[in-house]
Amino acid sequence: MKKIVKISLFLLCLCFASGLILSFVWEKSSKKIDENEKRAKTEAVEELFPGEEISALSLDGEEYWQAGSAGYAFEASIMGFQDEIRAVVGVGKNMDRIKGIIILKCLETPGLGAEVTKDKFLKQFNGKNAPFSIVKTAPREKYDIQAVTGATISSRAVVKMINEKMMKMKAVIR
Amino acid sequence: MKDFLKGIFEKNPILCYLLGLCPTLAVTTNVINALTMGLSVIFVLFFSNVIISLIRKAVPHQVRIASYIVVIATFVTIADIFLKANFFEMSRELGPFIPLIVVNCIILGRAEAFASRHGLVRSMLDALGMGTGFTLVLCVMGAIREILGSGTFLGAKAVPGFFPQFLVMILPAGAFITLGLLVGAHQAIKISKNEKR
Repeated sequence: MKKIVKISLFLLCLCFASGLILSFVWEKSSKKIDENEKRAKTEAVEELFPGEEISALSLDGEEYWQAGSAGYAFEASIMGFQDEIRAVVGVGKNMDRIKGIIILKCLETPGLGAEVTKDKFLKQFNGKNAPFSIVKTAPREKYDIQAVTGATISSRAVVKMINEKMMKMKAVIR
Repeated sequence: MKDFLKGIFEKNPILCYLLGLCPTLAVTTNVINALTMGLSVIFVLFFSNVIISLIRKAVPHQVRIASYIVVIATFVTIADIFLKANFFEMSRELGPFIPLIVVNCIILGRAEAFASRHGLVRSMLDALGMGTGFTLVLCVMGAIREILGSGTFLGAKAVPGFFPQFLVMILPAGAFITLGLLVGAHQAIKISKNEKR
């Protein structure tokens, strides 16, 4: 009986000390982490709309950015092949033309799924309006997006992410 | 000094014991990822060995593994938070592999096999040696895979244009091939050394 009290007390003290140290470290860095994440997003928006004045807005619970009179940008995410894929999408002012897509987070297979973060794949969206459809051969229709070879799942995820988010944002920004 | 040196070659945690293979195989697609991973492991290994060596006489025998994990997890979380705050791009690249250092068997292995039985100074040297050995192998693998797989070194172009890029090298299969060759080379050197003696 005495033994178990001693063991429990030891673990209690150890975990308490660990918690104390961690909360201290977190206290010191959480602000910086938030800033980093925010900055990554704003930098992506600025890259999509160079020279425009960016303002962060929120409507109907959807957050987005307005870039002067040039257009809007918003964040989209979806489950990819391995983990979440997250991106910032820039759209022209009439919400009918994609300006560009920048992938923020993508942990797909390097060399295969990760190719969806490259310009070669993402450029296909530019200047076009959702909904897009994914094809495995050379695109025939205007809204066909050619999947990355060997990465159909990742490619399909990106297309689905953009279609869904565009639909949602079109209903919000009017 | 022997405590430090043995981790680098003689008892290299990856090449001899094949410990910590998850990060070894997963993050060595390029040198800079490998180096960050290695440095994070050195940090965690060093401080957990220090703490565990200091508290080794107070830890009740029945819960020692649980206690070690608490200590290790604390330092891993600190490393994770630190990378997120100061090397944001890097931590995004490494994804879940930094938190996964908690279950890296090199660290628990050194805690159980060395730090819990030896004094502070020897435990520190052991941690630094093992950590350096781990980091070196990671960097060598990262360099081989980056040069052959992407044709770059530290992100800069490293091979002439006509040189083909072997996609397989940055895929998991390439990791196994590289590791296998390194383990083989290590054994060959060791054997020839012993024969000389």
